[in-house]
Amino acid sequence: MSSHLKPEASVALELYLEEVRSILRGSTLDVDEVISDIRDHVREAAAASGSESLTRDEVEAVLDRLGPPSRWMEEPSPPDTAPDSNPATKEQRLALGVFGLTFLGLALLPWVGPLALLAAWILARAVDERFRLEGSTMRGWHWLVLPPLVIGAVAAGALLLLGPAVPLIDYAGTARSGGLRSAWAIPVAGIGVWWVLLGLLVRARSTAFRWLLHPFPIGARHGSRLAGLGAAFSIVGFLLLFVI
Amino acid sequence: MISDFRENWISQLRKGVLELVVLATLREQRCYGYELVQRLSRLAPLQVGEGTVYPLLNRLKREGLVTSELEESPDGPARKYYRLTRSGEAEFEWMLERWGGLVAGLEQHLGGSDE
Repeated sequence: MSSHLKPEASVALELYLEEVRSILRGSTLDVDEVISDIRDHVREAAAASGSESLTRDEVEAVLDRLGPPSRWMEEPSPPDTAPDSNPATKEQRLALGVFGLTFLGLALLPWVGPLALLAAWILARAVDERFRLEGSTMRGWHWLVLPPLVIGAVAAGALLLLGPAVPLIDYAGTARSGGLRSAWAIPVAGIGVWWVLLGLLVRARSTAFRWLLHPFPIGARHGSRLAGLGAAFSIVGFLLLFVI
Repeated sequence: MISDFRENWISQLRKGVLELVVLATLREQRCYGYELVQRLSRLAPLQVGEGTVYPLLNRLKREGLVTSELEESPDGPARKYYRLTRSGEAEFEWMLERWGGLVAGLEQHLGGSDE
């Protein structure tokens, strides 16, 4: 019997402990350790209360705060809180791999380089997405995955903006016999029309363009500006063609 | 119906951060069980049930993140003190970093607006 408890309080505690033992029988938990924890807790609560020995009501209040005996059953491990490996090391390895592949791609330009850069871009997107989803800060290693993302976004952006201009500029080169002004009128108007269309598409599908041109935060307003610039080019092109 | 949903949500939220709070408390200083329970119960928003701390301590101990040692007490029988292991320190740092990333990401998500 515990000296810090009145006899009836001690009985209440022993009944509680017996229920805990019964519930934990067959579990992987160390039952003696759990029982010892409960006894220690009640003893400390008695010491903290300042009374010489706890009454039954006081012990029952302490046990109520501890919860029902079933509370002492093994709690399941949350599935996502225990990491299975050292993620910081894995993150750093991945970031270094992306950076190395980018360096290799730049060193091997113009032959195998583009393929390595494409692979670096794909890997960087996957790594970046993973870190974004997991909310990891990568401990300052994040910049290592940025070069292929920036290179990829600049290349894709340039291709989108100027891709259709190549045949038009070729046209300008071959049409010089009709005068410089009329030779450039069609390419300028053509690029202008393309930028209007592209700008409207960016406005309507800004999420898709933001994905493609990540890490640049492309939004609907950029689409509007591009469409506006395209409209200005179109007007200049048509003025050159028909008016001036 | 809504109150059940809220109760469940807040309960999951508290449960999710309890391990981090326990590790943070033990990192600050070693504690015996009752002392830890009292310190956590002062964290009003967490509303820690006294009986939830011991099973959690036992699990953290089995996972090697905390260790316990008996030490004589001037007030009576020996007390079982819990403290972080090296592995617990590393896990705490990892969890803290994740927590920071999560909070930053959430703030950005909840506070930001698409154009």
